[in-house]
Amino acid sequence: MNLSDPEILELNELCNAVVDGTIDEAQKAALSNWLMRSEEARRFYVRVTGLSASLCHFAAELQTGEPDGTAGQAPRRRWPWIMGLLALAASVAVLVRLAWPNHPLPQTETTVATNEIEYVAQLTGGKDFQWATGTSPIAPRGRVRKGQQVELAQGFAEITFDSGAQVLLQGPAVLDVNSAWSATLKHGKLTASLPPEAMGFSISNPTVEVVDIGTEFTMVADAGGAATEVLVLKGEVEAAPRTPGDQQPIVLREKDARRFANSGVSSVHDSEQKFEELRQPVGLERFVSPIGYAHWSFDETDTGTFKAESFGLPQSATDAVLDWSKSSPTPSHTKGHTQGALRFDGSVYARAAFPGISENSPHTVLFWVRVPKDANASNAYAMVAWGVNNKQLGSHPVHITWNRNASEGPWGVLRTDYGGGYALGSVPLRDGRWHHVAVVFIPRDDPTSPVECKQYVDGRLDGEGKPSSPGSDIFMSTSRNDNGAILLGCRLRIKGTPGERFMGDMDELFITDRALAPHEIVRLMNTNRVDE
Amino acid sequence: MDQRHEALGQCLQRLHPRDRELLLRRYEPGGTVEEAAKRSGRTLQTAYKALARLRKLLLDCVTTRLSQAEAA
Repeated sequence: MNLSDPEILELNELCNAVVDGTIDEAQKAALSNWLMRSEEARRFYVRVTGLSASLCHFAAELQTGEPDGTAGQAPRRRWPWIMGLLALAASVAVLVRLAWPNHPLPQTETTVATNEIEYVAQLTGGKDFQWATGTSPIAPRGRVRKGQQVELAQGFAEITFDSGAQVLLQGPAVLDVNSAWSATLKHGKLTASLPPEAMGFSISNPTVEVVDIGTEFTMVADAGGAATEVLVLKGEVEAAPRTPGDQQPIVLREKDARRFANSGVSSVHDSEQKFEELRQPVGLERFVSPIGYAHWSFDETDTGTFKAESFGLPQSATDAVLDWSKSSPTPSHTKGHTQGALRFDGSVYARAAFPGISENSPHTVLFWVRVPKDANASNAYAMVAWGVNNKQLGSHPVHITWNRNASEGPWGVLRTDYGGGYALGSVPLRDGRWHHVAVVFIPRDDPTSPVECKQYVDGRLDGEGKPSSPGSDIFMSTSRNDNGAILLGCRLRIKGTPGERFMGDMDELFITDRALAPHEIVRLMNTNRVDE
Repeated sequence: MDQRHEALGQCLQRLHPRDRELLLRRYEPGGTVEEAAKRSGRTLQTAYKALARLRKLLLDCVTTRLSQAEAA
């Protein structure tokens, strides 16, 4: 079906409402209806959101000056350079194929330091699996590094990428893990399950590149890499042949199957039998460990003490106690994402204890945050902070905040500072709306980079840690008195004195005693509960 | 994908500077339609309409340029 001009105009209006954040319930229903029934509408939607994501990249490239901390003051710009910079920006490689509403596209390789070992996936399940002789075995729950070749001799191995994509590899098979957003199937068979947060994840090989549009699909590549079969189990994918004569992408829907070879694209013989085989359960063992956690709901409305609930922790976390006496007459409460929330007005802060937070141990910090559109740079630090007393991390505090250093990354995006590094996202948080933030910390066996840090905004991977420059203001010591204490709404200064104050609202803070997987983060975001 | 990005850069350059400024102010980090409207001297309603028109224009322009590149 071809869209008529009036239909295109209607779709254009609906898509514009999405990217401008003005979409109402009636428009949502209309758009959902369009997207469910029309492939062309889906393509149009992807093009519009992709265009917006590209424009964000262009505009970020052009914004070279750091805004000052004055409400309403516009960032400095260098408009006379715009034409030259546009030409320069046009040469920057950015994946434009797919976008998630209000979210950036999958990160490009340039955002991460090239000489750093970066981990981008994890072995999360398996059955009767054996790694190929001569390759480094991956332990259950072991991390998989960017660029690593996974060679499975037999059995099944489930690899969960940090983007949320899950790949079940069936041996014998060889898979190159290119990044959190892409992999190359050299040969063998895999089934990919791709949640909405992983939209844009791609799997390629010499004959085809398959890009997810929200789906589950299987890919079988022969040993020589000369032919690949793609079978779609759910949803749909965009499959682009890589053969010289035919490179037009094909949209494959549920129960569609195609064979991609150097000679061209053809149907798959006995595809019904293959689909039937794929429906058989594998009986996978999932490598999960129990989660201990503390939760502050901030639902109290008549007190400056906010109750902590602890589960499965060796030592319980303590209630968060607000410090407001010097500035504000009463503790600040507001309507939250779920019931009540804690309001930071730029002067108050709160302190609680989470035993073990100061050690280099795995944990995940998750909360909802709403930052005013006009928040000043002086009110960026910090949503959550804690001191660290650890030899490897050099006593550098951790700050989860929004970025106010435009020379290091986009203004207003999620930022995490920690010993020797920092992570930056790309979703602007200063928009007066609730965003779900999750920051995952995983210790590494590397003295030069002892901790891995991953950020998620609204359930989607939004920035990995990278080394910070010497001399950066994150290199500050904290007092041993702050061992195990978390501070909400302020910055840690030398000797642990709370310094600057954060402005914004916070709700439903969780801290877990292990690194959560992407699907666990999404589940907690959606249910406000931890899987026990 | 590089081609698409390059096409977008070329299409942006063809816009009237005032329109280009509106778009880039809207899409700069932390940018809002309200601020973009104020700084380009438009009302909010006009800015929304202009942005919708400009996005459609860019979409068509990028599509045309990519088709031309494929045909060449």
